[in-house]
Amino acid sequence: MTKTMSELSYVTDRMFRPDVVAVVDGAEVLVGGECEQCGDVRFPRALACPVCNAAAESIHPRSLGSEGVIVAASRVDRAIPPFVPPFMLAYVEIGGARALGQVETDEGEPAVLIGRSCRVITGENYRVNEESVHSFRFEVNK
Amino acid sequence: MSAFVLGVGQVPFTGPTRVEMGDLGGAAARAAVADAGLTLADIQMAAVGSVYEHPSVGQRVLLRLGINGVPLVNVENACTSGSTAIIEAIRWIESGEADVAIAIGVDKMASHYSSGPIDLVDADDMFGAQGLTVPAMFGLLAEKHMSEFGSTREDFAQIALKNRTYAASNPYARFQKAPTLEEILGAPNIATPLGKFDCCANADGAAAVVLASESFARTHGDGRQIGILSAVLGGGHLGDRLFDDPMTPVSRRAYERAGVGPEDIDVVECHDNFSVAEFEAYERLGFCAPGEAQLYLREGKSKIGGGGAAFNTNGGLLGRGHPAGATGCVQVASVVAQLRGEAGALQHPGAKTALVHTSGGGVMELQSNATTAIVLSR
Ligand SMILES: [Zn+2]
Repeated sequence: MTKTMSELSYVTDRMFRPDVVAVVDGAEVLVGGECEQCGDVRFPRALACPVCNAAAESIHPRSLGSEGVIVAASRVDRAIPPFVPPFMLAYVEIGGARALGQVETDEGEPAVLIGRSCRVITGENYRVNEESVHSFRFEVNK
Repeated sequence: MSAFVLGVGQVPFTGPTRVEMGDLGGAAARAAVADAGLTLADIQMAAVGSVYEHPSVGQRVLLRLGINGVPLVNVENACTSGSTAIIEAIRWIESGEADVAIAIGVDKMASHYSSGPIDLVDADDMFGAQGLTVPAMFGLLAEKHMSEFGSTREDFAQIALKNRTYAASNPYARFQKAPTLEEILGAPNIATPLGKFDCCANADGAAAVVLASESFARTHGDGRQIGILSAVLGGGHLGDRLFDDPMTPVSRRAYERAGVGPEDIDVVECHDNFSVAEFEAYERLGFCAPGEAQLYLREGKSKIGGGGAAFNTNGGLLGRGHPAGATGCVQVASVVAQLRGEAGALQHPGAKTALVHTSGGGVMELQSNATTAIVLSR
């Protein structure tokens, strides 16, 4: 069942957006969107459905779960402020959608991460004027 | 033929320059009109592409040409701005609104931004908020291909080496000296596996293309005119460009309308903003099967005289540098030189038919802002 906005318990503290991570059964989950007209699921929730053109109010928040699989990863050594390299970026397949996010790992090379399972966490993403801005991130499962 | 190219011209692509944008565009336009054997009074319509300049770019360029009162369309379509301007000019000719039109592309990207890799991302968007840069998007694409199909970091380096080597024989290219393979492999990493030389540099520059109707080309052409077989502009889909890209459907539509297939194409200008972008184009433009770009590359097929379609024969974006608005126009200028047999040391033997592909991005949630494919033939 799709959970509506009011049913989901969102993680908002210091988050760059208040609507992308929620807590379900004690675990942090990524929240995407599901179109009520055609069932299209994606992350982030689209401004309008790219499959059937439904407007934003027909696209409802939906938990994509807490576990995903890394399908591509790259170590970024040159970044735009406020991001501080190096960091690992990855595409993660999660809950029938794909999400791009940073990956926390102590395993150095992207090649060893592809195909690995990971879970959603939240943590500091960057700082603006000494203030910590948090985001969803992924942590590679051991 | 829907239209003909009668003339092409450009200014040298450079790092930051004090020459004004309008002067760059004007000089490229004068060169193209001279190459066509026409005068500025022959121009009946102008389309001018740029991305990072002020509004009314085209008007500022035409002021330098003494062209008054002709219909003018300014085009901003990310990195496809120049090729979209060409398609716009072609449509005016096809519809009978103009017999002779000029497409001009110009940008001073090196002046406006650091001359390093292009990494302009809106930090407000979901992907920008994760630290995604444009090089990282292409790094992810390369890492995925390596993991799935066994391509290697050196494959991408070989494309950078090829294009920088060709650029060294192109006096208009920003980079006149090619690095060695060792220098490419040893350069600082930007986003794995892509290093500094795998990423195109911004440039200041301009290029222009003079187009004409069939009847005008027949009466005024000097025998060097090149036909446009098809010209397609495609829109961007919401999605991740790692998994598919509009260049596949857009190029298929261009082939179909031209009545050709990839096997008929002798030279290709593709949008090699990163080495892996040319690599993926081997597959997505139909020159080899998915997962086999490394074989096409390693057999030397994408080289001049390599037995396949020669790619980016005067340096590509990697070697020429990338003044966004000018790129589509200079890509067409490059293949026109090939099809006329005027490419000198960079001539691909027997070049008869060419494909020009340009990708424009910027809204990171889309696979591309716009994609163009133009098929030309002598
Ligand atoms: Zn829908």
